[in-house]
Amino acid sequence: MLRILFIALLSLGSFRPAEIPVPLSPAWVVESGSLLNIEGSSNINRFTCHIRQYLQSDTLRWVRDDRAKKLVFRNSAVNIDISQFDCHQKYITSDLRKTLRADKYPQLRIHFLSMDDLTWVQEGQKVRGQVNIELAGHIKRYDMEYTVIHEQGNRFRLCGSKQILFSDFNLVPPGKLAGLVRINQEIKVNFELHFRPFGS
Amino acid sequence: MKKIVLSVLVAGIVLLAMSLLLIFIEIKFFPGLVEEYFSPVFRWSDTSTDWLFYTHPFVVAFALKWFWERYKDLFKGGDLLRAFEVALVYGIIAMVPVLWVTYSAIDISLGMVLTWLAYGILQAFVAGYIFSKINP
Repeated sequence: MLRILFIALLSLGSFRPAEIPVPLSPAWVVESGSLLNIEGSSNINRFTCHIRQYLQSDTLRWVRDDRAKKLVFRNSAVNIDISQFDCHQKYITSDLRKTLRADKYPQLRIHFLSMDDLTWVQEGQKVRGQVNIELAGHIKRYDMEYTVIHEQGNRFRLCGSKQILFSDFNLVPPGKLAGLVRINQEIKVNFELHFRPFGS
Repeated sequence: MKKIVLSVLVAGIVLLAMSLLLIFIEIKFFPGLVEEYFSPVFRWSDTSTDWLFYTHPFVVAFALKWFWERYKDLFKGGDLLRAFEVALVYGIIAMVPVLWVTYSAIDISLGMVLTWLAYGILQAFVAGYIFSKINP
């Protein structure tokens, strides 16, 4: 009798109620063909740093705010490995990585917060949104303006650019020769993100 | 003594102005060479060390003034000729050997080393001319 009771108790312990599936919010997957570059300048010349390889398949999840006609993102970020930047000038590349503290903060993150609902946007029309850019351990919010380009099979591209300052992230642009040779404060982030719906 | 101090100060100020002017000229006409200053062998700009750069003309002026006072009687002729001789001596005795070993040890281009040689010789020429004028 005790043995039966013991076995019954063990069975109860291993019983788990069936997991109720949580409905997934709509999501977009960032495709590997996405592009991102940084334009900067020094008091000598201009330079552009390209991402050599964007390998991560980041997913952006959103819910629709019908009243505001916006998409609100949840835990959605595009992660860029800073070591993958190539400025095509070896000294600028290494100086930029050092300035961005890539050894301690290896990623540039663009956290999507909100965006105009694309259902209401016509081809070629500008889309507004907000992002948090996380760089070298600091986060700053920016208002963004994108261009949406629809492609086949529910795919689309989000293109945009934003001028930011090193000082926005408490960073000091590199300078040499007592500051007489220096990188300027302003840098421009240009991006073309390729999206496909999650699950397609 | 007054003349010595005055000539060092004047030379220092003129050499400082000249160094800034030459940097801007180099940026304008030889940007590829200036880009090399982004190399990691060069110190990052920092308040704790930047002042060394801005005071180096006075160090050079002081050193050349000591040399001038010691050996000025050997340099004959007009102000320009005397300045030229000082520049030549300084270039051969001080600049060439130091830059020779610098080039052998540090990963910098020959072009950059040659700009430093020209800069040093020009510094000595300008300082020598000022000393010859103020304190012959």
